[in-house]
Amino acid sequence: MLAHRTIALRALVLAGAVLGSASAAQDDDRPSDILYLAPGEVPTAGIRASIERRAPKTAGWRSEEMHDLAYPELKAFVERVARNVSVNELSRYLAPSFAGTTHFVPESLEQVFDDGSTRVRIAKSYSTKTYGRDDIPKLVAELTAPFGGPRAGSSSPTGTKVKLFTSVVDPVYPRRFNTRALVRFDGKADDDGLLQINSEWDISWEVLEREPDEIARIRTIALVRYEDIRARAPIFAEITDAVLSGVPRYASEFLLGSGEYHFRTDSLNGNVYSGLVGIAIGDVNGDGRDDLFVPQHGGLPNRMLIHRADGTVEDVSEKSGLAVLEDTHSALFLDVDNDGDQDIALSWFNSIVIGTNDGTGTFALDRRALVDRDTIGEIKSLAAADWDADGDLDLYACVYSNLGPLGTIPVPYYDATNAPGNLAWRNDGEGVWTNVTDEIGLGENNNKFSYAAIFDDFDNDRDLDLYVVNDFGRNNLYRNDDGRFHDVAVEAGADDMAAGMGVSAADIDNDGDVDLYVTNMWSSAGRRIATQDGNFRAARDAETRENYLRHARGNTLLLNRGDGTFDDVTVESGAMNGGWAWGALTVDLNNDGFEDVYSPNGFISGDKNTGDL
Amino acid sequence: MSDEYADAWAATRILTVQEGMSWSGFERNHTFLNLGNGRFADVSRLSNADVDGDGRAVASVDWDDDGKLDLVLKNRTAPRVQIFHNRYPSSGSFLSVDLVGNGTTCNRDAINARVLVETQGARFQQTLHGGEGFLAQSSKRLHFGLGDATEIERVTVQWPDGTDTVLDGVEPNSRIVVDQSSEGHVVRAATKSGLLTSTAHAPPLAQSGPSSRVVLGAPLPMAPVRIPSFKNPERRVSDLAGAPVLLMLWSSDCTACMREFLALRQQGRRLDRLGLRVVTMNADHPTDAAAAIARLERYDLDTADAGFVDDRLDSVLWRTFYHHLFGPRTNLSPPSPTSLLLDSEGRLLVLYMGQVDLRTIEVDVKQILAEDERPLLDRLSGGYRLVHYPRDFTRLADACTARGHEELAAYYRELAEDAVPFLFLDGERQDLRR
Repeated sequence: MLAHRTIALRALVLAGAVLGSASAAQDDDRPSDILYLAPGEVPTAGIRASIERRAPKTAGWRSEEMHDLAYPELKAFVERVARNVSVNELSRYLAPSFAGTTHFVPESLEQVFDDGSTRVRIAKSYSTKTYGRDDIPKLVAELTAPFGGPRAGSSSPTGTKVKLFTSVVDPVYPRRFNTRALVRFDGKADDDGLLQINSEWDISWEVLEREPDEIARIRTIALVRYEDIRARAPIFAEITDAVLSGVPRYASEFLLGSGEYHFRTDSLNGNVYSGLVGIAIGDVNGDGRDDLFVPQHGGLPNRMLIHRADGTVEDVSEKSGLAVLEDTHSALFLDVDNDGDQDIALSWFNSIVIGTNDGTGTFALDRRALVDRDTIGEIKSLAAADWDADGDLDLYACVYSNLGPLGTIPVPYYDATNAPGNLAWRNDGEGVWTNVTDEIGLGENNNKFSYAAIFDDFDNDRDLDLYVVNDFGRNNLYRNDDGRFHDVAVEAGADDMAAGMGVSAADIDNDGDVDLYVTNMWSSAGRRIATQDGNFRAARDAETRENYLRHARGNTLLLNRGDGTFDDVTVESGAMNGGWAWGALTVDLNNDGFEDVYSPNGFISGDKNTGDL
Repeated sequence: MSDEYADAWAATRILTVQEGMSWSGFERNHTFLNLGNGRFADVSRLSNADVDGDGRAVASVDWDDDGKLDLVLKNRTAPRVQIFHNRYPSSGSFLSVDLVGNGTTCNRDAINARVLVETQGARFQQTLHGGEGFLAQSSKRLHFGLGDATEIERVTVQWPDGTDTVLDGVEPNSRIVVDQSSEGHVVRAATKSGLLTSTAHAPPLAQSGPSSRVVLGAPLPMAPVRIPSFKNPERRVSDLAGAPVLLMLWSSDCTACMREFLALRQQGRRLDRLGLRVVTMNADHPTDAAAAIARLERYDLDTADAGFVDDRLDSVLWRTFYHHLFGPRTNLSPPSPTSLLLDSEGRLLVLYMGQVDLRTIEVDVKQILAEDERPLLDRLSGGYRLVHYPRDFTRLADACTARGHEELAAYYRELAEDAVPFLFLDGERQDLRR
């Protein structure tokens, strides 16, 4: 029996398949409309049972009940710590059996980074010495002292964030349990800059009976991880409005989300919900400024926005010929005919259509779309590369799952191999493209829920290899051996069996080879669930449980040894928790020559803040 | 695969889509700073780009060409596009590199070219990727951060055809173009403008109101639908055939409806001139006919065609058509007013949910009446369809049956027989295989 939270654990990215987008396409390439229950139809008993199981109590998830008790308490406690409240007020959150806390700030810190605007300190060591109730004000003052500053009058962080990512019932005392928590404080610093403290606390709790419910109280706190970062100023300023607000449909199109569009677009256009729609940047009119192409949901025209000299954009969608109404998921600018301008590939449903640019930013779409008649899955990311080294660009398309009322349900969840295959289209010139997937070896292990792909020379032999990122399981690393590809992911240590969504390739450690930063899912609920043994019945054995846990671990950093084999250095890198992440990108934000990471995340924010499933 | 496993997937779908629940929702985006020693620091809050939308794709571009990479973010939630301008206070030096392949042995875009930049004591490399991240493509302009380098010793371009170009005399903080077909490199002038350093606004919040104009993907014929008038409870849409019709659903406690009535009184003639028949339908439960007519008279609106939404019509519109068009939704409260724009054959083309500007209706009616070889719904949508999918009338008929609208079900079943997807090629309709 799968408890509901088990479902949340499995990355369930589902995207196109389950939550949204055009479906169906039985045998006539036609997306049908409604994905879920037909009007008047009621959920089956099985579905109803599954819905009911999401309540931890119904499911018998004692540890999740504990989490639900602990989370609001810890959140309130941390907020009060930030406000530097009296010890009496903090004592409310402590159990009668309170047995002490360590420092919230390590006694010994080491500065590991300073580039003139950002300073980073980490703990040299963590003391296990604990302090009693009466010492708490002193410990809190240590934490909050660097915040605020001379003009603020008092020192206190203005932001806090708490997540509990393990919750384990004490094996000896059933009314006690242990959690590990992310605890963050941020705000104005005493030097007028900004300060962010990232820490992890191990907390043990006692459950007390308080009519009508139980409550959780803190027994002990131990600081187990700490870093603090000071910055002179924020890295970014948002300029969305300044750039885009002149677009006539800016408000009615860009300021509505996919959740709203789901109920504002005819489902035969493709029924959006999960909002897996991308972005492409390229200079389409050759004026030296990069322009913006915004693919849109079915029924809304794609937007081609030309970058004007003043930094704003002009909407030329209709004139450009790219105002296609199909449910466009991805787009790529590429010069398919080597005539020196940016042509475009658009994907929707199971099709790719190529538009050729006349050099001015006006495109002629070749309506002989690239369609593999056997593929009725939805295309996700596209990747362009001249893999056959004949001087023109070929196209690789990731295919996620088959379409239909439920898409393809991944089996097994953590290593699924029941998805439709990805497609390699060879550019034969004059608008002729040939599906060569099997011919060049890319048919090998071509049965995964693929989201993204990237070509680069991973083994430094000057030909192009291919890394494919897959949801619900292992990624592929296709090594190019004289024009034929061969999946070496497992032996190269690059299979990263998890909920892969995106990939960035760059020399992250500046040692002369190409490393991989793979976007996966970090789920606190998933991590809590998958650490349970008695209750997590989907995981019958330790290895399966480990696979589930790995699935919720977060993003992955794979460092190249130089020969196309990789070391997973994620945990020690500190770049693991990117949330329920999608297309993380490596990008040097401070021009220090080291690639930083931006990780967009969040799966579904509901139309009411009902909390997570 | 167990049934329970499949049921669990179905359950999550219902809870999110239908019931509007969150699932790892409201998460804030992360930013990690590479400390250069194998470690990253989480600087999410300090980045100021830790927005809590459902982030999907991100692409990098130096939008204002100031030597720092900016980010374009695509979200599931509104705002669906967000742009973040990099204002890092102490950025290192940089080099911007445009590549042009020869177009014969190497693609013109130079995708998959690798560029190596050597400074005193450090070496940096970038590959030009054709697509990176997730559903995203960043700028083709390669960007190098060079730390505190004051000199560049050498730049090497490794073209994907196996040849190399080696450059001397490249300056830090410059922008260069390297053409495989010519010697050396050319320095490019910055294209930057002043606007973005002086204006930055946070985007407005997403529209929370229900007001929206929905152009259907294919017409929805409504001819046999009963739309009772105060005189004739058995009136059907087909009785109004011959001219485009706006069915305006209103209720007496809705101020937006009254605003729309006011607009109709003042500017309704513009719609009359186009031959549009405006038919008001009172949707109070139950309708008080005398009060409704009095209200219409107060705004000098037609009462001869006016009618009301009875339980049957309510079920057809909100329990059947709405589900068919958008999918079921728990706790749906029909927006008021809602207006349906039908063509002269009684086919629904546009739905206005919430108050609508009469000019919008006027523009749409003119499109309906215009002679233009581009398909009407494409024109109304402001774009082009590559494939025209027919409505799934079988499914619609099933939905009608489920709600007890047998007569409608029979009507849609008949329509189902000749629904074929088709392409428009140079204005010609071409049917796809069945």
